Amino acid sequence: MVDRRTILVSSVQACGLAALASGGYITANYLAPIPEGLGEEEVEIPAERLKPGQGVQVVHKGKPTLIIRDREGELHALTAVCTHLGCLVKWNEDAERIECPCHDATFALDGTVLGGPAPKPLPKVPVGVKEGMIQLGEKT
Amino acid sequence: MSGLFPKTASWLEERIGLGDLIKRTLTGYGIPARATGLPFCLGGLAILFFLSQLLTGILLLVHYVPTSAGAFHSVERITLEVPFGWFIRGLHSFGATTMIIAVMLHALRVFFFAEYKNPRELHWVTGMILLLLTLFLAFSGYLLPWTQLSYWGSTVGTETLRDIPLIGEQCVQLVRGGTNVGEPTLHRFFALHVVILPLAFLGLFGIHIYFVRRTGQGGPPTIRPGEPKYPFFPNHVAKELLVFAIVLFVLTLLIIFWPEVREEPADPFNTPKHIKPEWYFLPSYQFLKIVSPKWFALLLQGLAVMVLVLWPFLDRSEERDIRKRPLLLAFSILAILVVLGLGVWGHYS
Repeated sequence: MVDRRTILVSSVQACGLAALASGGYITANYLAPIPEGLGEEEVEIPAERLKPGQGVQVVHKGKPTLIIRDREGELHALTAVCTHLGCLVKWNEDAERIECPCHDATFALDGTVLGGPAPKPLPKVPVGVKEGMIQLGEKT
Repeated sequence: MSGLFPKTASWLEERIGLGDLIKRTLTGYGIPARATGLPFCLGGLAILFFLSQLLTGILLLVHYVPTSAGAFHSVERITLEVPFGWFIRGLHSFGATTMIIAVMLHALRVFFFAEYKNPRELHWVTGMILLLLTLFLAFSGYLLPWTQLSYWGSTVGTETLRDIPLIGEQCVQLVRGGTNVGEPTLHRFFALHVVILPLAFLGLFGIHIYFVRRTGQGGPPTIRPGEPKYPFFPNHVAKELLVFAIVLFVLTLLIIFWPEVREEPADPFNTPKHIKPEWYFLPSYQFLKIVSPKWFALLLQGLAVMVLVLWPFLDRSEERDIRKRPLLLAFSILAILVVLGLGVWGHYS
């Protein structure tokens, strides 16, 4: 037989838990990361501004992205975050390779690992030219 | 320890002696049985709202940017973009007002029940300083959204210090961190609001509670020694939590149906019309407006605050029942009416 006190104590505890759950839900939502400009940002670089051999870093859909034009004039775009420990990689124009300044990982133009500790290639990003402007993303 | 989690409770009890700790500090502590009504829940309500302010303040810090360039936009972002940001900000804003009201009403109860008398003088002194800290907390937080109202309200508020004889200008510059309210003022108020004043409040609150525990709660003036006690925990705390829950519910309704009005960002080159301080500074604001010279008005206000803080040492009568002291009763009610009248006058002037 459950007595009145047990019911009272359990009810208060249940109310407390409900209040905690509500507060937790509000707090968790409040602290959840807000997507920053997903799909809103457009990379606006005139195609002719990027000469053969040059590279530029842009932010595409919230992610740092490298756009490189090779010596033959073809465009390449890769995520600029090193697959080793997340540092930002840079295009070395003289050595014609992508380098990570943190732990010397090196990548080829297509993202494949040339050397260093990086476990995976850099992910490619679709790139093209539309009306004289470089376009990144699925549409191109 | 029963309830939903008996195993967890006994596990904790075995390791940290939770039950023993609770018995020594909470359930074993009794308050006068006649000191358990709504007026005796106001102190608990004030501290529960302080904790709520602490929690919502920490959450606001996650998104708030304490610079003149970023403050306004970060508060806009919290209100308009962050999930439940409007609620957290509303609770912090309404919570500040509620906390001030709770502390004031708590102080009024202690005054009218003469609970400050021997040996409880220090309850009152620490309590009055806590009330002042609460007001400073509210004032320092008012600037942080960096809106036109908060900017110019803080300008007017800090400007009053200029009338302090001899050191007025230095006081204004010290508070502002410069000649005008600007970036250094925001940084100073931010440091005061989120670190210095809350720490001071918590420390003094600990001392306040120590005094209350040491010499006991006064209760109504007609109380006699040997009257039955009432368990502070869980009985009285449950009452305080219930009052807190009801007030929180009312605030939630206010936040939903009376949301913050969108404001303009601070513009140091454009003073809007009718700049007034928040309601709790209106009596002081109106008093400064009508009494001249200003240094005299400031002196009178300073004296009034000193009298209030040191009141237990000025009131030497042993009679606790204010109904048997008609002169004090009449003077107290008159003083409250004057303060309220000045506030209303300040609001409509």
